[in-house]
Amino acid sequence: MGMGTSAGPHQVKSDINVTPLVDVVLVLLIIFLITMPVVMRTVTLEVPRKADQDEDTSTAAKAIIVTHRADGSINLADGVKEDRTISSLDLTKELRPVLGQKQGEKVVFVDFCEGVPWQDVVSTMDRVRAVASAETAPIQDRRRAGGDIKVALKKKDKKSEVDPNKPDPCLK
Amino acid sequence: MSGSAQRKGGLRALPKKPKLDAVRNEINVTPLVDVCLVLLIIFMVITPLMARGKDVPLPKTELHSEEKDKLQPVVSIGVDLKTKELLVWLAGTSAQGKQELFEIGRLDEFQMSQDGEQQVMESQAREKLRKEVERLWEVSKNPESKGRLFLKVAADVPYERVYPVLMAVNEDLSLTSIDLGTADKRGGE
Repeated sequence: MGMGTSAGPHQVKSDINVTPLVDVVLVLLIIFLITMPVVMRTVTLEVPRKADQDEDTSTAAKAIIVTHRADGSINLADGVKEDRTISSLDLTKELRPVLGQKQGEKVVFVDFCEGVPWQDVVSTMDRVRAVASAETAPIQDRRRAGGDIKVALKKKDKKSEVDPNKPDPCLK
Repeated sequence: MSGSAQRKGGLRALPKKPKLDAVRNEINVTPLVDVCLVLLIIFMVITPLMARGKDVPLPKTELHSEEKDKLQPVVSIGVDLKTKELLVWLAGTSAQGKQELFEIGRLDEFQMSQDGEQQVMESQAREKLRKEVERLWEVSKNPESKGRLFLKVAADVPYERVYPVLMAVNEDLSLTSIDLGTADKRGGE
């Protein structure tokens, strides 16, 4: 190769030399891979700040409490109307007017009875978040809007604090 | 090299051979294919590593937030394939930037007291979880990871088994919120 004068036109390589291009692309790709933020799909659950810090009774009475039973039905307590039993599929529909009236921070307390699998726990939280946006909105907007509603863990009542006049929502 | 020498020799021997024959006019795709294969392998290796913590079948949701990984410790609750028992694992990033994954204990070790006072029982696993999460927060390079916990629970674990863990981390680590890991309803983790 490269024998000076013997180089004729037939020795010109007509293919594009892609090697440097490929090198650059590879390096770019590796850079992107490293800097790419790993996406974590989450539903954020608010937990009581301190275990023994009990909620103010006046606000607790007005809090929206969603209790999911093992049979899939839901007890909805909004502190305005009487407690009612609804199907878990109707949760978004039922919760929308209730939450619409609410001033300030939108917090929904969730509680689950014995035997509710974790899938249903998370699905219920998902349905609560769906209240924030119309069903027809683009999924990205709905996801963003869902973050406006705070889903909070309802602590199980201590035996000494159970109101004997109030029926246990886990028992129909 | 030998090819060009041969061609030269060949041209000398057969001067009437059309010159176009010596010129290959297609793009050489071999390096491109090589690179594509390497990329494929890189992606195949990296994709399972991107989900941190012990892999458990996560519940599916539609309206989850898609957040950047803040490198917070990951607590996983799921069935151990060998013993078929429900275990608790913890994963995080060590001071050297390495991924760590270790077992905290059996999920049975997290229980509420039986007297109806809704206290989480003291146990070795609870103590270990508190210590290890605090250590991971301490060594974390990302200040945003502090005070945060990512919880991955298998979809079929009943709530009353998870509740003591939620209460334990809440009490011991004074969290304000917990990020629950979910998978996309339309596929993909």
